[in-house]
This record gives sequence, structure tokens and C-alpha cells, in this order.
Amino acid sequence: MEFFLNSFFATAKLKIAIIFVGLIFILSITNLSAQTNSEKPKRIVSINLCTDQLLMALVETERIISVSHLARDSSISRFSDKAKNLHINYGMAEEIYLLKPDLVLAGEYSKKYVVAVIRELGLNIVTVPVANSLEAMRNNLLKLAAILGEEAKAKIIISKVDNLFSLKNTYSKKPVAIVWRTRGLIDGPGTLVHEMLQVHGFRNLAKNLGRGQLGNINLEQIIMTRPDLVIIPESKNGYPSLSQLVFKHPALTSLDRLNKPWLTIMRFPEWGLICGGPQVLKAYELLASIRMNLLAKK
Amino acid sequence: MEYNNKHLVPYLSYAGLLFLLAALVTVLFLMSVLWGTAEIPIITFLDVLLGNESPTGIILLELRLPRAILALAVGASLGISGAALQGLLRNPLAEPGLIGVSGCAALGSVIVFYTGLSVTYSFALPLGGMIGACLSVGLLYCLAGRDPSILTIILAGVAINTVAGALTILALNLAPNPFAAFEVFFWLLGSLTDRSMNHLFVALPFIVIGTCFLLSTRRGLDALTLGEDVAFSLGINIKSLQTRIVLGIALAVGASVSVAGVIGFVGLIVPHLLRPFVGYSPGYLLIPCALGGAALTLAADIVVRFATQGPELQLGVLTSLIGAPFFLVLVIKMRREGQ
Amino acid sequence: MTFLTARNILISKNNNNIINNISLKIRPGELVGLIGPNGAGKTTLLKSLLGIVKPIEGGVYLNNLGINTLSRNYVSKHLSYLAQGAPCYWPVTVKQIVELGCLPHTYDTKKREGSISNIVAESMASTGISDLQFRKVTSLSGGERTLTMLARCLAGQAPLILADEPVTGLDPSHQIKIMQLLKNQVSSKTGVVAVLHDLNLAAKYCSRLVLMSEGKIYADGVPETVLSTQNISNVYGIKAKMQYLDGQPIILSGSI
Repeated sequence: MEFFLNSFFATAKLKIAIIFVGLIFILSITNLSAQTNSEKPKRIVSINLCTDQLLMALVETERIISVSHLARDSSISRFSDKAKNLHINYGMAEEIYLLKPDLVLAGEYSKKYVVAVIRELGLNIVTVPVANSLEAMRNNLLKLAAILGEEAKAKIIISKVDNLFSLKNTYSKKPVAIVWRTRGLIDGPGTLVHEMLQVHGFRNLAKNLGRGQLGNINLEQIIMTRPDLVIIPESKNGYPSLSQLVFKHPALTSLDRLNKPWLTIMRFPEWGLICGGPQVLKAYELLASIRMNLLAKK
Repeated sequence: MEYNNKHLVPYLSYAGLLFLLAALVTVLFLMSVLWGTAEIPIITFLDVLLGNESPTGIILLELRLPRAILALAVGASLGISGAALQGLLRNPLAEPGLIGVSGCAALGSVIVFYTGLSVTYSFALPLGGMIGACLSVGLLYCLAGRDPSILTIILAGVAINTVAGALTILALNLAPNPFAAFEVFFWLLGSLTDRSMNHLFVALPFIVIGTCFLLSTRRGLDALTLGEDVAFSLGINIKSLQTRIVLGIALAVGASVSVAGVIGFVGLIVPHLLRPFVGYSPGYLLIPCALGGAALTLAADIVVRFATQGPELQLGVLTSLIGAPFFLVLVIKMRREGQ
Repeated sequence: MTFLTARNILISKNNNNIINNISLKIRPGELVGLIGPNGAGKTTLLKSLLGIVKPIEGGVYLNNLGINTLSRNYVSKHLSYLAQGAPCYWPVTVKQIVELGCLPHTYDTKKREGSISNIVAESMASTGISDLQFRKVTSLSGGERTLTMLARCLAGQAPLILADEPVTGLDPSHQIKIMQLLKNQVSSKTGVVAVLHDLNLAAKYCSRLVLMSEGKIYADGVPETVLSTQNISNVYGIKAKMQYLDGQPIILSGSI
């Protein structure tokens, strides 16, 4: 009797085990096929300005359902024209859910609880970390390219990044530059700005002054250290910007009388300074020629 | 009313006090002009006097000097406004910031700023600040004027601050662009960085007029020690006194806030520290507080310039860090004294 | 000679007539006691005589000139006010308070007799508070505070002193001292009006009493006449009788 029961159970266990393994096998196969057979996501929503830019750079508008409301602001979004024809969202879970996306892109600093709720609602949400270096930008592009199914387009951009990498140590003479944001904030080593300056053949004043990742500098310091190039964000939108007034400071006007101009100021569109994506490459495009001009003057 | 310091501080007369404070202000002013990231050799002064332009000379004239003068002017207006308000309300806890004057002035400036008027008319920004300040002082007087008990004042001030704060954060909330909101937010925290002579020319006249109004109230404030009715019987025109104080504070504080953002607690700390040295006489307190406020603000502005790592330390934040615990200690002390 | 007159004044608050058609003439040479039950309008009448409270009808005249038309400075040189409770909002010294009394004369260099410090010293001496001159007012007893405020009034050298309940709540020695000082102030050119609750003090020190009731003047004359048993009964609602002890009048109050 015992032996019979044992053998029955043994068989039962074995049967269960076999069925269990079989189920797993089948499920995994279907999962794999879900990955390999799935087309690229067709209904993509982005709730973050930086992922908006990446999305609009890589994917055709037919597959983009919605971008964040900031994407329509031409000073901070390079693709604001594209965004004008797209639905915009305010990053709220309910509105995202109702759009029935098959992919949601969020940024590293998107509200964590919103991201969590969207995930719990069963949507596929991917968080793209902030790109603090070219390497990070490259990785973001690769990762997104795979998810979005746009390997070809991404490859073009990545090749540009690789190009910049290769230029890094090829410069013999490096003028000093500084990216001077509102409130006197400057980007030091460990930021994308720092690396972009380096690959374009400039030395970052922030590093010369010993600042960390985020530092500050006031007009007096800029005047005295006299970098060869000062890059400032350009405000186009019409709303008055307090920080813009600094660049009309009488001190600069007086200094220009002494030595015209005391500072070479270049205005960058703001979208070139806030997110790490292909638009950044575009913004810094002119630096190469400017560098030549600066060296020629010296 | 003369005062007698014999039992407070030996050998320190009123003139002596003023001299000491003026000396302190002068020293701090010179420090503010001479210290900084740029080395300014003494020869620069010669250059400036002779009219030779040099980079260091330009930094001195266009950057350091306006900043130092503004710190002095703003600090003086905050100091004297605090003293005058405390004299009017007969309460040592009144302060332009606590009672909503700075908050309303800031709101006025933010509105002017958002509508873009500040770009077209350079006087628009301080004007907005002053209108805001005027409204708040008037409102405070309506709510707490006849009954200067500490509870009424603080409640009225809280109410006004709440309204001003609500409208300001509404403006920030509805900002079309987060970076604009970001900018305004930090401007509100108070700063004198990179101000120019233009700022000075715009704000200084109003600060001077406001201060003059306040200085004219010294006798009246002394008489108010005995209460409004007795002061009236001594020949003080109470309505005129109130108007001059309201206008004076509105002009001085309004212009200061519109140029430098919100710098709080100076009007609370300075009168409290100096009151024993003038025999608690509210009228005699005004001029020392102007000097003391100038000294405090100059000192704070020097300190913020030397914190260079990371984002800029805002001036208003520093004064709050000093002032808030000071206020706490003051409240505890007053409770103990059973006032 | 300074005359202070109220003619048919009417003062109303929240539809209540606090002062109902009162005419009163104050002349120097008298210590006038303003008496009456609580709510009769004594303090309001005093304040209207000073110009602090403005009547709806009628007017107050100082030397036959409307008090509201006169400059504050002129009025402050003729009338001084001793407020109820001797308020003082800052912990200043006695000397500083007395000096405040000289405010009306700040801009007269010739008219005042003697310098400020002399006047202040004299005023403090006559009220007997010279020893207290460097004490903080907030540390004084009620009687000492009132003496300080009285010294302040004296320093102003105004011919008429108007005092609102100067001795209420003080100990007997201070009450007598202050009433005596007020009486000493009365001369051919100067006078005092004092609001009083204590009928004994009123009877003893005042040369004239004005008895008020419900916003009107009920009686006006010498204490013996005004403080008749009938008057006291009608106005205060108590049975009392004036008697004399060693020539001093005493009001013995009985039951209701």
C-alpha cells in the first residue's frame, strides 16, 4: 500500500514537475516571440522634455501619440514645430493611461510616484537617465534605439558622437570657454557641457577655477579671468528674463570701450544646454569655426 | 526727548553711538568695495580719480561700488523701517517682513516683471514694489492699527503674508516655462549680485524720500510712548504721523525689495540690538538703526560673496538663517518677561 | 486767562448718545471734580474737552476759538492730559517721560522759562520723584507712575490740567499726595479738571463739582450743594449723607 502510494505520488510529483516546466517553457517561448516578433511600439508617449527630444529625433510622428507640454516651447525644445501638431500631455497618470500607449518614456527626474502609478497600471514605461557625458548619451541612444526599433537612425547620430570622441585629444591649442547659465551657474567636470567643450577643442573655465560639477561665477570673476569665449543661453520667447539683463551690464559696455570687445559672447539656444540628446550636437556645431576665429585673433 | 545712558553703557552718549556705527559702516563699505575675487591694487583708486579707465577701475566703479552702495541703502531702509514700524505699533516684534510688507512688495515686482513692463520702463519695477508695499502697510494698519497687541499684529501680518504668498506662488505656478519660474523664485530669495549703477539710480531716490519721511517722525514716535491720546494732547498730529510712517516704509522697503529681492529680519534684529543703547526711546532709535541695518547688510553681502562652491548663497537666505533663530529667542525672552 | 468751554455738544457712538447736549465752562482758579456713576460719560467729556473726541453737534472752544480750528501746538500749550492708567509702552526712565512734557515747547527758544533740564528738575522736585529719575517707568508702583505723569504735565507748563481718574486704584497715601498736588496747581491763571470716583476725595479737594448722569450734567456747583443726599440717591442710587469730621467733609454711604 505504502509503496503504491509513494510511487503514485512520485509519479504525480513528476507529472506536476513536467507540466510546470512545460508551462514555463511555453510561456518563455511566447515571451521571446513577443520580443522578437513584436513590431516596434506604435503608440509612444513621452512625459519628459528630454525624452521628447530623443523621441522626435528618432521616430516618425505617426508613431508618437503624445509629448510633454514643454515640447511646444521653442526656446527649450528643438522640435517645437513638430510638437505643435502632436497631442501634448501634462505628465499625469490618468491622461497617459487613457491614451492607451504601448510605450511610455519618462526622464530620471519625472515625478517618481507618477512613474510608479503608470507602471502599476500595467503600461510599459521606460526611464531614461540624464546624460552627463557623451558616453551616457551614447548609451541612452543605443538603449532607446533598441526599444523604439530605430537602430538605423540612431546609428547615424551615434556615429557623430563617436566622431566627437575621436577629436578629443587632437587639439594642440585650446582657448578657454565657459557656459554661463542664469544665476551665474556653470558646469564643471563631470557634466555634458564640460565634455562638449573639450571635444570641440576648448578648455572649461569652470575646471580651471576648480569648481565641481555645479558651481557659480559672477560677472566680476568673468571679467577678470577673461575667458576667450562666453556662451550664454538665449531667451527668445518674449518673456523677460532677469538674467539676460546681466549681459547688458554697464561694466561690459565700459570694458568694451577699453578693448573691443572685452568678452566674446556667443548665444546658444537654450535647448542646446538642457538635455543630453542629438540637439546638443547641433547646438555646438558652430564651435569648431568659432574656435578657429578665436585662435586666429590671438 | 533726551535720553540718559548713565546706567546702560558708561561713557557712550548718543553722539558716541552714532560715531561708532558710522565707523563700522565705513569699514564694512570699504571691505565690500576692496575685497572680492579680483585683486584691486590701490593704484586703481588713482586711476579712477584721474579718469583713466582700466579693467580693475571699471570693476570698482561699475560692479563693486554700486553693489556696496545698494547694500548700504537697502540695509539702512530696512533698519529704519523696522524701527519706525515698531515705534508706530509700539511693539518690538513688528518687522516689515513679518507683517507682509516685503511679501507684497515682492508680489508687486513679480507682477510688473511678468507683464514685461520692467523691460520698457526702468521705473516700473521699483514702482510695482512700492505700490505693493503701500497696500500692505495700509492693510496692516486697518487690521491692527488701533489695537497694537502682539496677537493682533501677528495675525494681521500672517493674513497679509498668506495672501501675498498665495498670489506669488500662483504666478510661479502659472509660469509658462519652468525656467522662468525658477528664475523668479531665486530672485525672491534676495541678492545684490551683479547689480549696476542703473539699479541704484532707479531705487535710490525712492529710498531717500522714504527715509526722509521716516526721519521726520522722531518726535511723534517718542510721544507715542505715552499712547495715542496723550501724544495727541502733546501736539502730535497722529494722522499725519501714521501717513508719513506708512508712506516712508512703503517707499523705502518697496524700492529695496524691487531691486534686491526679499531680505528679511534686518528690520527685526537691528532695532532690538540697538534699543538698549538709546534708552528705549523710539525716536532716537531711527538713525542708529539705519546705520546698523546698513552695517548688517554690508556684512552679510560680504559673507555671501565668499561661498563660491555650488550655487550662489542668496543674501535673503543668509539673513533668514540668522534672523529666524533670533526671532525665536526674542519670543521666548518676551514670554519669560511676561509682556 | 485760559477758558475752556463746551457748548451744546452731542457725542454719539453706535447710536447711543454718550454725551447728550452738554454745556460746560472751565475757568482757571478751580479744581473741578467730574463725578458720576460708571457710563455717565465722564471720560468722553474730558476727551472732548481736549479735542481727542469730536462731537457730532455743538463745539468745544478754547479761549473762544473752536478747538478743531486751532493748531495742535497751540492747544498743547494750553491743555495737558493725564490719561487713565498712566500708559507707557516702552521701558523708558522717569526723566525721559518728564522730558516728553516739554514737547509742545520744542520750537520756542524764548517763550519758555528756563532750559529743559531746569524745568524737568523742577517738575520732578515738586512731585517728589527726583530720586526715581533714572528708574524705568515699568518698574514703578501705580502711584509713582501717576506722579511721573503728573510731573510730565507740569513740565509742559500748560495752564489747564485735565486728569482722567488720576487716583483710582492707588493706595491712600498716594491718593492724598496726588490730590494735594493737583490742588496746589490751582491759581488765578491755572486750573485742574479731574475725573474722580471717590466722593470723599472729590468733596475734600475740589472747589467745584460737576455731577454727570447718563450723558447729561445733573448738578454743577460747590460740593455741599452737589453732594446732597437727594442728588446722590437720584444719580448713584444709594443712600448717603455728607457729614463733617474736624471740618473735613465725609460722605457716609449707606445702603441702596
